[in-house]
Amino acid sequence: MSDTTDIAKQGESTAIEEAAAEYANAIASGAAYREYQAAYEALQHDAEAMALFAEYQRRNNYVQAAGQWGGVREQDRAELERLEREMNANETIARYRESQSALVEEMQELNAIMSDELGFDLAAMVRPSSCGCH
Amino acid sequence: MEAALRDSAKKFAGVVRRERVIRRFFEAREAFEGNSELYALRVEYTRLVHELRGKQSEGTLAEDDVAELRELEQKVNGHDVTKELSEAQVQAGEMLQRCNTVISERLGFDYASSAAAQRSCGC
Repeated sequence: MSDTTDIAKQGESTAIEEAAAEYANAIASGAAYREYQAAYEALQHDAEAMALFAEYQRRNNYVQAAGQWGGVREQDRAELERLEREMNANETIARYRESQSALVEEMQELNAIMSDELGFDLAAMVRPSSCGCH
Repeated sequence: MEAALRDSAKKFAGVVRRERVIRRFFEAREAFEGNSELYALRVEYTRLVHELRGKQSEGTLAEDDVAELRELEQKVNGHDVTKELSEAQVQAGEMLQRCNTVISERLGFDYASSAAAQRSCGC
């Protein structure tokens, strides 16, 4: 490939990346993202909520793994349900989860708008195999 | 959703659509979908897959059947129009991946995972 083509390609890449950054800034300025960030910060500074959240995730991972080989005990399921109830009753966690759901919903709506404009699902085309949750 | 956010999504989509690699992808996809020779091969491939699944469940699947399927698969995948679409798709995917990295770094989570998100990760 010639140097001229390389330079042209670089310029094009920069333009699209600048557009991506501008789009990201628009999302970050939106109400849903700001609420999510505030809820995330609040969760990080609430030791009790963090411990409960971590315990729930640990137990949930265990139950899911156990479920794959049919080895979920009733007491494990009951413990998970108890933790779920505690999580729902915890204001910090409830706020975080609600803000996360609202933000994901907004991201999906935005992706639907872009998919209509483009004629293909942009997010599905680049989505990694694992999730990117906090 | 705020109107400004909706507009910014449309604006970004517009920039993406005008990119050279995306235009190449659109052209390649159109050529792939409009190629009658390839269409006939794909129809035949789908028919054969169904037929061989039936044979497999009956236990009558032979090596010749599998060889026929592979030959057909090679005809589809080795067709110039298919190869052009595959290459264009890879290039488009790489560029979109770079965009996703830029957006994700700004937001602090993987944008594409959240935006596609029909599949739950259980977090």
